[in-house]
Amino acid sequence: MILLVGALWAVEIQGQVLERGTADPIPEVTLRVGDTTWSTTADGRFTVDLPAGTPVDFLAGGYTPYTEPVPEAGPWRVYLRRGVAALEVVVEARRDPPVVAEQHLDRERVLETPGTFEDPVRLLQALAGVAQTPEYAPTSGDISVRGSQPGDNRFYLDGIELPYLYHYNQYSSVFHTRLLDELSLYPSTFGGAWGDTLGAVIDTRSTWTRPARVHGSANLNLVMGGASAEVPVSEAWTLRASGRRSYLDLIDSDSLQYTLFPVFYDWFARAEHTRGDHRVGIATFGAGDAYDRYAGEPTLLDPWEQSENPVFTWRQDFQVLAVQHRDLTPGGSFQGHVSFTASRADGDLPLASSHDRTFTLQAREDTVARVSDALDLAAGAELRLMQEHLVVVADRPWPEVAREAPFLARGLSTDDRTIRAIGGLYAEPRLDLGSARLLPAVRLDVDSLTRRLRVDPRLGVRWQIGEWTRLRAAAGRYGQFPDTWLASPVLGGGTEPVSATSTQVAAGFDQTVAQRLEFGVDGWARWMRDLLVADPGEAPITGVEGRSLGLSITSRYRLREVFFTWLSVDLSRTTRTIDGVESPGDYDQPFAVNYVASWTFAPTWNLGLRYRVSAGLPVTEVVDGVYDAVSDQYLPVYGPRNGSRLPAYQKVDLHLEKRFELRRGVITPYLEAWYVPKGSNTMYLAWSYDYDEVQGVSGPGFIPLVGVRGEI
Amino acid sequence: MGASIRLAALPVLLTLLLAACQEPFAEDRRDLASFRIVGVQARAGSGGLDLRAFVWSGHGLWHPAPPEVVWTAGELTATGPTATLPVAPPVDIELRASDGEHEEHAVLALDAPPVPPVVESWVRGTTELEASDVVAPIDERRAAPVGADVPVAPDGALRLALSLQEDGATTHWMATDGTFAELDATSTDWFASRVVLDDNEVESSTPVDEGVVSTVALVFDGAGGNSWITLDAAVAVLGPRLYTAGRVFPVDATPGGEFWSFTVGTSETVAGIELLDLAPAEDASASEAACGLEAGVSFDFAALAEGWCARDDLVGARLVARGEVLP
Repeated sequence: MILLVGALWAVEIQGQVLERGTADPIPEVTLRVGDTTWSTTADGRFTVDLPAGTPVDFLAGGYTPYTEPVPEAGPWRVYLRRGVAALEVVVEARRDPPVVAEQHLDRERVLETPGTFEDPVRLLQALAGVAQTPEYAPTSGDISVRGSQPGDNRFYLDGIELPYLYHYNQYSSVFHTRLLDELSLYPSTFGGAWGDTLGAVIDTRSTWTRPARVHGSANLNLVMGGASAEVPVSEAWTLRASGRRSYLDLIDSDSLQYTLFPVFYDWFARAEHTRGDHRVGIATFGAGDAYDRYAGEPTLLDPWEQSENPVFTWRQDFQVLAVQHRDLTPGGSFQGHVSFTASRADGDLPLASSHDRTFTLQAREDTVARVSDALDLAAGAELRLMQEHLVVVADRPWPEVAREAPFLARGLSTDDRTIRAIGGLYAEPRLDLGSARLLPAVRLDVDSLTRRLRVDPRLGVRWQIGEWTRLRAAAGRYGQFPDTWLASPVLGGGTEPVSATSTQVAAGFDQTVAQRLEFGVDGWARWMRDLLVADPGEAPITGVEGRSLGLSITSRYRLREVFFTWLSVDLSRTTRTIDGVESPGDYDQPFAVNYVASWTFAPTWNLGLRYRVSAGLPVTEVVDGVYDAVSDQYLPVYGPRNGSRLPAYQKVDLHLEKRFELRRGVITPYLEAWYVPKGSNTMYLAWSYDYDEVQGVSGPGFIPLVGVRGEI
Repeated sequence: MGASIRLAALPVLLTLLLAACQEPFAEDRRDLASFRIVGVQARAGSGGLDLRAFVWSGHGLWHPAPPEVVWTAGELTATGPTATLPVAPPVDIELRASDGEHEEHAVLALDAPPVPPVVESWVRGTTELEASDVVAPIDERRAAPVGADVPVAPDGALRLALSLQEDGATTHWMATDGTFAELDATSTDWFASRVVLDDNEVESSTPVDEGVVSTVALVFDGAGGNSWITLDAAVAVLGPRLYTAGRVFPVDATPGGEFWSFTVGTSETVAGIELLDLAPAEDASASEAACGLEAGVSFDFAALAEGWCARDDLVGARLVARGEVLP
């Protein structure tokens, strides 16, 4: 639109209004000169015919009003800064996922929660029902949800199962935050879409939003650096890529314990084609971890023994190639993928080695069909074809490497190549009965190794009472097929592999007060049988039973882009019964409290706080030491399994960041401080040589950290 | 005593994330301090397996009372620091040792008849190494020349080395004071200092007290063949000393000789006894029966160290030991 001003020296200038920082065009901005107003086009373009120097007001919802004089000549780019949001209250309970129990994280909460280093998966342990483990302890990367064992959970990226979730000691997850759109945790009693898992499902979804223009980002902190880019190649095609790598090994490559500092990296690339409601993507991504360390603990060896101390080389990585699609039609949706994953876990000593290579072909298709206004039918199928080749060569037991290579710790040698197929089918009608929603489901899973067909019924109910109260309840049966190695004649010891079964129930309610403050209460219970316990370096124990009970109380408040806070309190009890003896589960945590708050107190400043306190994890004490006169070492005599507990764990994280919004980019340096009160960061126990004395080994009590991220 | 080591934060700030912290324990494997089982030996004998245990009393190389030692193999039992069980490998032998206040347990799992390693000879000599050399590379320390077997100065160093009849055994060294820095399977440097290390650097070093420090070398082949030898280290001991089978005793005598008779007295040192009225002897024939040993044989001080008798049972006895008095 052209505004003519009867000035002899008016100039016609074309311009565009863009967002400061992202340089994205801002649609339908109002331009004002005196009492005259006009609007830009949908892509922020405008034309003015005014004398140079005429002040023009630029007004747009969500942006700080801005005045700039007409320049001498065009083109005229005007950059508006995002203003304080209009105090939009986000009520999480208003989400209406087709599951009864779910916890959900979006990008805002991930980026602005302290202690996560912008890593969404590190935020998992701040969610209700997830056991808290001390940072950087050997257990730090273990995810235990509602009493589950770490091996009971499944991790997915866009429906593709990941072999593992964390890089070394939970330093970060295996994919870049920039890719993440949302993360959902299904702690238990989930619907029919997921099978072959007794524990939780962590479902992460990457972003598919087509960028208006090329976007890039770079990030650097004290551990790793990375970059990402999103490129709209054409109207339909988008390219997306990211990469990260740690760099401590490049600065100093060895220490008392390591001959190669831990190195980890991950990468992602995808070509996407989107046409309306149909999209297809070809993606490849992967991650890797590596380090070399002395097999024996150097501080326990004399100089000559240390000179003979062998180096243990550890390499772990996976690569995925996938074709994904999603199609939305008036009658429903279809989404699925076919992917190929190669993974390995290799541990090498001079005279011993453990190599585990797995190739997996995954295919999955999910559909939701709208049958009627009151009935949706969700259904799907998945298939995993796997070949696992496990080769262990052990000259003797190597308990020193039990955590990374448990089979080497047992001193067993084997060469097992196994081909296995695991498939699943489900059907889940979703009935809308006015204020109630009924979610019955049946899940079929089949496994070629155990030759077992499982039929697991499930039922969920959601009842909306008024606008602000919701009741939830679910129950079901869940199963998990055993790990492939259990079928090995050597490693499994002739044990017949059977699938473990869990009966789960959960009930809860959500209440929103004054349209903004949310409360939630969840009670849950799980009964398990035919579990397997495999302590590192020990033969497996089968026929184990388990039970978990718990109560989670949560409260949330959120003003979008301004402030959010949540508090969760978990009370639970998890036990295992082994050979008739009941003991606490390995991740039994009677209480856990998480508090998170994040406040954008000025348009470009954010302050965050996170506090957590939880009961220490169970440990099995050593009650005596017996001198082994053959090896001149002491052998531990253990007390009751998990009969003691580490001290309670506490941690405070503070986060402060400042956004520098440039015209075509944003740079955000941030400062974090981690503080663990004395006596609250016992990572594990260490015993004297004869097991007469015991001490807790603590992590650092205070760490200041800095980082910076940039986007264009 | 011993090198106390603390896991500490790496010097680079970035790598604090990899750090863990733990205070050192009061004792480590090398410390001869509290009541413990130092070694267990078995050898094939005419009656089965001849068993022998070296139980450290916690007082020194002597016992206020013989420890209670019980050997068990299945249903069979035997008692005493030395005993015989009518068994043959493969067999698991369990041992319980107690002084009435402490109790320790050991196990000796034998797949085949054990052959205790034989120490043919040993070397003990001063070097010019200092406490800071505890962390020096092994090759550098190995190159240090070895001097005479004389008392070492406080914060000086001794080289201790064993020659074994057969290769393949490993030596674990223990001592009542000072710091070890091993060189290979059968030799070590011993520093007359209590060295505290922090991230493989010397944090502090305190010279040991003047006097005799006792070291024990346990030699084991990893198949149940075990033996041991006690080597004393004299620290700034002036005056004549009797050297007898690895032991060192300050004495009041003229240097020389091959056999020496003496009366046993008590002492507050690690040795627990002192040798009084030392006099040259022609041979060991005048040695009284004592501590489970026959009369007329050179006294073996290991019998006292291993608890074959109480110290007080030995006080006043007139014994003979083979050795040499040096100035």
